[in-house]
Amino acid sequence: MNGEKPKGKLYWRSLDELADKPEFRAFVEREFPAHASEWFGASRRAFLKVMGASMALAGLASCRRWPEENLAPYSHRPANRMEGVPVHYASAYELGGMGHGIVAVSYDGRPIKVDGNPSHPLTGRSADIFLQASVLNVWDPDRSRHVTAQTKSGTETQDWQKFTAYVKQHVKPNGEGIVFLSEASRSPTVAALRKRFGAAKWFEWEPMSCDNQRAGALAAFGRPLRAVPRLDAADVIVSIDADLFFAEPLSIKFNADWAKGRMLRDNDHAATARMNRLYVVESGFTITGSTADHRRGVRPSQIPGVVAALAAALGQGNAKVATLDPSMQAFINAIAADVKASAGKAVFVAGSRQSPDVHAAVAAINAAINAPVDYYADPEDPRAEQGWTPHSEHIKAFAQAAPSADLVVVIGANPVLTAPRDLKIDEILRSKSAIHLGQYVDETARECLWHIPQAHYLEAWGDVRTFDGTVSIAQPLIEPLFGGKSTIEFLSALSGQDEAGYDLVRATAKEYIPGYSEWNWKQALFNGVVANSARAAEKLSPNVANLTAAISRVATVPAPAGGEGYELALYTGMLYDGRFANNGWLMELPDPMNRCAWDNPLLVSPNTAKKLNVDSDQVLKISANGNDIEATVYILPGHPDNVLSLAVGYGRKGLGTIAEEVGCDGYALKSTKDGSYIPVQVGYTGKVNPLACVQQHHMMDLISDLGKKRMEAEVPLLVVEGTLEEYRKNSSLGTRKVVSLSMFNERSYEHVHKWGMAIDLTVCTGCSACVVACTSENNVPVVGKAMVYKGREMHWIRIDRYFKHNADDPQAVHQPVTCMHCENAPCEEVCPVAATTHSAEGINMMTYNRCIGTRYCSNNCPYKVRRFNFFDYNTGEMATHYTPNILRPDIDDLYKMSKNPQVTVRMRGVMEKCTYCVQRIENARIKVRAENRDHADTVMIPEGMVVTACQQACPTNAIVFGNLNDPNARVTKLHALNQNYGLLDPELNTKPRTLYLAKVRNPAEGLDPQWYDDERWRSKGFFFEEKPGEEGAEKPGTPPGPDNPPGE
Amino acid sequence: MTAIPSDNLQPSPYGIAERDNTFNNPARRSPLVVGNSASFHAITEKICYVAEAPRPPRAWYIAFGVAFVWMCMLGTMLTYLLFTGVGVWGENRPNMWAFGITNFVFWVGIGHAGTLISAILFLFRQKWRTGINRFAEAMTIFAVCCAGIFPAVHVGRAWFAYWLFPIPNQMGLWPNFFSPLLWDVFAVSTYATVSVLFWYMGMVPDLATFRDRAVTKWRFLLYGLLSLGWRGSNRHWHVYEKAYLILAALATPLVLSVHSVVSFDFAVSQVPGWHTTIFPPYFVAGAIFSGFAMVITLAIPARELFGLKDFITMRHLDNMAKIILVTGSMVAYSYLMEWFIAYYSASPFERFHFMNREFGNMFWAGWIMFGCNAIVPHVFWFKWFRQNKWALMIICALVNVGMWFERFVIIVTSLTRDFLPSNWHWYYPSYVEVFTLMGSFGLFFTLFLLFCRYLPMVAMAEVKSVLPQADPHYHPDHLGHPGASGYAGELTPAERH
Repeated sequence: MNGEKPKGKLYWRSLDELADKPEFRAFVEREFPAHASEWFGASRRAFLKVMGASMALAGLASCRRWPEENLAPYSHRPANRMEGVPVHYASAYELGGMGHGIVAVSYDGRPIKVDGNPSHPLTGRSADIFLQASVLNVWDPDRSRHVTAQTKSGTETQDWQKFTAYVKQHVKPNGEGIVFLSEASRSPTVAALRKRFGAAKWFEWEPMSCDNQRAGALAAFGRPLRAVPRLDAADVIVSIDADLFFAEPLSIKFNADWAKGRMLRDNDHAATARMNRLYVVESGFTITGSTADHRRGVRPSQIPGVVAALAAALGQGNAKVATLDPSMQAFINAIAADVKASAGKAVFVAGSRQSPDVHAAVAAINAAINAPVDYYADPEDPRAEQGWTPHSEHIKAFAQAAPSADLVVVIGANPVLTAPRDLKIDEILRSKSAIHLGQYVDETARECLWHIPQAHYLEAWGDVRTFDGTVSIAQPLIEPLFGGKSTIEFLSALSGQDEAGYDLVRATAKEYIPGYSEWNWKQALFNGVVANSARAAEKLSPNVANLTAAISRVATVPAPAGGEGYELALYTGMLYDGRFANNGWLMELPDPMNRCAWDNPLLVSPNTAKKLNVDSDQVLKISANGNDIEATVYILPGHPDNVLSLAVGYGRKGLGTIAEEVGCDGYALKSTKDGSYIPVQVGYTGKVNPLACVQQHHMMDLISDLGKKRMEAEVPLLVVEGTLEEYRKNSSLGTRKVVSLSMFNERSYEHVHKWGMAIDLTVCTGCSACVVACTSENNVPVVGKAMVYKGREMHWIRIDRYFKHNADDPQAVHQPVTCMHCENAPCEEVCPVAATTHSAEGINMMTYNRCIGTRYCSNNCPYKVRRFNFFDYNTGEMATHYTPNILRPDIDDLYKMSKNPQVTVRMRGVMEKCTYCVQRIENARIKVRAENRDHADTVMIPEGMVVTACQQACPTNAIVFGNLNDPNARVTKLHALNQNYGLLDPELNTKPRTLYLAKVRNPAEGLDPQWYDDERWRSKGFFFEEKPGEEGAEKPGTPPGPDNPPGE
Repeated sequence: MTAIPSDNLQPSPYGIAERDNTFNNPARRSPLVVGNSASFHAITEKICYVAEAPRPPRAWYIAFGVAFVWMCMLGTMLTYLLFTGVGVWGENRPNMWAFGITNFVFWVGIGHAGTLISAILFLFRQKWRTGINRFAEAMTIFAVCCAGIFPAVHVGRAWFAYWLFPIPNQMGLWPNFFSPLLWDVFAVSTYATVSVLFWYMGMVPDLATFRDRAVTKWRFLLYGLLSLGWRGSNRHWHVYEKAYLILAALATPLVLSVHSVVSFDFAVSQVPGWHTTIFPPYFVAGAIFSGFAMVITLAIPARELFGLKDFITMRHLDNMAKIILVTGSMVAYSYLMEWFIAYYSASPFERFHFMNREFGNMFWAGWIMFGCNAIVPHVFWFKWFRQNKWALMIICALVNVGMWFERFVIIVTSLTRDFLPSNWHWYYPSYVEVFTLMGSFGLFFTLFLLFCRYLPMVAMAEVKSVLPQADPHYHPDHLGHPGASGYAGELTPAERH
């Protein structure tokens, strides 16, 4: 306004302004403090007078102070942008150097949900728990927010410009004198940027690396190839300590491929049904072990011997094999016989934590039996150029190279926590000028001179290759919330150029997008995968001598020095390698085997617990390599004796509010000389740490074993199980069907949808992806350890785990339980305010606004799937549940941003539960009705348009949802199968909408009779005793009734 | 307490030996009012004195102080609960109900004795009820007050608890008439209303007596307002007695219905241990059982403290002990029948529940319940226990402990282990729950002590009506003549003077 008329469009606030009268100018000048010069020369009295008047008028003046708002209305709505309508973007995520294709859901610019990309070779449309939960990290208020530098006066907040100035001073072109330590990355752009630092040394480190497998391939075939077993092509799968369904980099694919060989969804051909068979030898008790048809738990030190014995039984290798105990030998012989019988259709898979020797031997065996395994080369690997060594060796090389470096740059990795402690990475970093790029101010960041916040993958451009080389481009869904920099932007800045991520990715894309053009680029972005970027599997020409040598090496692995000492096996738990330590969804996700949340219990077998004279919840002191930790015991039946298992990534300090001092840090015990296990000493502390276990482990009764007996009698009815042989003879597998007559008129579902679900226990592996998916989709709050301990966790879907047979050698089963949407819903009858009612389409609905929280519905629900908001879980800080609402600090706004706007966020005092993802049904309905306006009232939602969150996440397709009135819907066909049953339906006549398909295992003949000839397990049903050979007892399918009209 | 003025009292028609001979000769009933109180004037003087004495006995102050502090504790706990969430209690999944509903059912049960005494015994012309009915009714009302708190505060959003009532609203939303909780709302609110009406109406003539004797303006005004212009005219008495009879007839089915309906909360659901048809009669018997135990617990200190031994005689206590014995036996029968049905039903869930109740993880609660309710009352077969005040107090306290645990066992033990073993979970009460329970006793005793001090504790008009003198054919000179008096005829000439 300084006398000069503004250019462009003129907006005016009043007629005076428009006229630009001198009075108006004077007014403007008075308003602004720049003209406070008026005060000069005022007397003390005048000053006081005016101040007094100002004070008096302050109240009035405040009335005129409007909140400042910036409105930016669209004059033209941007394409694909409609407020409140979710937008789906294909993007990519990298975990441990493995690319995952994702589809992220964004509401008004907020990414709130991540699923697999159906066209991606690894994920398909499903996602594992880490992928699902990764979106919560975007909204983590504890992520690092500032560039910081260590100065004499402590840690100081700096900015990006200061950092780039520092870089310009200290980084030489060519990167001379720099030593990099990076997390594994198979990004073509990172690989391209790496070339800028030709003179630098580049090291890679992943604590939960699958590198030993490639080291094995190096030994067996001379090249560090990645082995990709094709489980869908295998009839016999032998897992050597591989947690196929949870912890392996290819777990999502393994789940899906394995399930393909186990689908029993055709009763007409039941007599000739086929199934693959899974043998597991493992050093813990994982979901892979519980899913297996046959399983043995052994000590980690015995695994090489088992592999050697397997090779010998298959006629491979010529080394002398140590003698095994007879039952193990019988087991190995059975596997060998089975493998021989299915030539070319059997595959061995060794677990990531096994030694290169074991992997080499397994590769050799696979080569010998012509197993369906593909091998892929990995040219993006930085080590490909410098003589390949696995991560465990690479970190040692880093520790040697770093002390003589001018500058150490740590990218994403957290070696101070995760590297073997005898390398003393913390001291090295402290003594050098070190730069750290990471999402958290973690253990490593605190030792480095500079810390740069790393952008979340949903905030930055990037690209990544998956196992077969398929490239996916990562596109950001949101600006970096805390100004973080992606790895490629960081590297670019380090090279003195400071280019934008988008330009960097596009520059590399020219190389990997075949026939690059603007159209192809957009196509690749849209699809989430770059077409034709996959590599062909390598053709191998194995050297027989190498293979024999590989096998003979495992046979000569010396027995552990400790003899009968305790072996600690670290495993990948709910936090992956610890990078998800501050992720509430994963922290609160109960481990599928031990069912504990918010802790990493030390898993021991009942025998070992007896030997150690400890019980669950007691704290032991575990020492090795000069360090010790205090770990809480959990007695896990079926765990091998003398082995202690501990999940990694816990026991963190100063990382964030969620991670703070939860559990103990298993990494602390690891040294460079340890292989797949750590020999440890066990001491006592006398402390007790109650574990937050969602299925009680103290089921022991005070004066009798009633509860145990009850479970033994009841669980066979809840989880109906049979063998393939039984299924072939009688596909109903003894599931109990009821014809229920009602005194009332049943609800009619003519001309409307009739939603229903089927859960196939045969292919459910317990991987828990559905639980996290549901948490993410339905705004399920994280409630904290104290609440979980009290039994107040909020998950809408849970995975029950039951053990069966005896405690020393049990089998375990997983059963996902969610609201059954009963036709005769016990909850609906008892709600005094009619807050839970039946919808016209058969969904048991919950009206939060109407709920007053009598909790009667939960009492009357036999499945106990209803969850109650005992506190205001969504509005206050987690640690302050017991503080009255008005005194509670508000929860960080960022958490509020992570909520799905289509699902009500529940307040305290209301009940909640699974809704069959009713918001997804309504979305589909809106779409279908809009597309069929002329007959919108009668149009039906076609099959496949509504996919529930749990169904979408399930990698094995165990969960199927759809319209039971649609005869072609998959769920209708599954509901017609004979092996169907409703949980507790025969007892309570609840008529659940969700039916289970009985679990079928495929045991080898005569093996493990203690499991498969267990009469207790076999005696199904005390309500309707099925006499052997009595045909009349079996009724094919659900009999016709109001719920199941004939002719469907 | 200063001595009761006795100079102008009418002499008792009976000698001191007639004071209370309940246990001397069970074959012959002792009079309902004994000692030198058995005259119209003495009754008025003695009862009114409790409220008119310049200050209550010191024990009253002590008791009131303790009760008031506990009531404040209740207030604190409820405030904390309402401002924080139900999570401050120990409830979890599957134990969604615990102390809250236990306390509710317990207090409703306590509230049964009053109306039973005033209504059912009235209809059956049990004249001995007159000595105890007033404060038993008061106890009922205060117990229902305590009971009413719990359903309101145990819900997650207490500020919407009024949605339980069928209030017409613009959304056309009605409560769910299928739900037993809604039946509860109607049953308990009806019961509370009728009990209050019955209590208050019965008190009107006595309040008028207070008014007439008032010496301060405030007392005159307050009691004058409360006595609704009662003048004691024939017409008043005529209407009063009709109304009293009608209310008694209305209240009688309520005694049976309210706890039957409360029991439907459990019986109608399908939780093993709840889902059983025996609950309605079993709950009613249990409620009367616990109610009478509470009346005795209150009557013994009250008669000592306020000099009411002549009105609440050992005969009253003896009668009530006998009712406890009868209802206790009914409760014991129910327990045994539950076991039998669990066995006979062949339902594995029921069988497991009852095994678990007695031998499972919460066996101690089950045995407290069985011991206190089914075994302990049987000492009342012996006279000594019925006439010893300390024994009565202890046994009645045990009965109340047992009855509280009965509700706790039914609610919590059933829920801790229901259908799916994966849901089984322990329950531990939080300190808030324990203090809330204690605080509800504080509220109860505060109200009761205020009642004792400011309202007629004994129904003067009714007690007078059962005196021998009230009989139109009463002729003290002709005692012993058959037909002269219902009581005199029972006396032998030797006992007469």
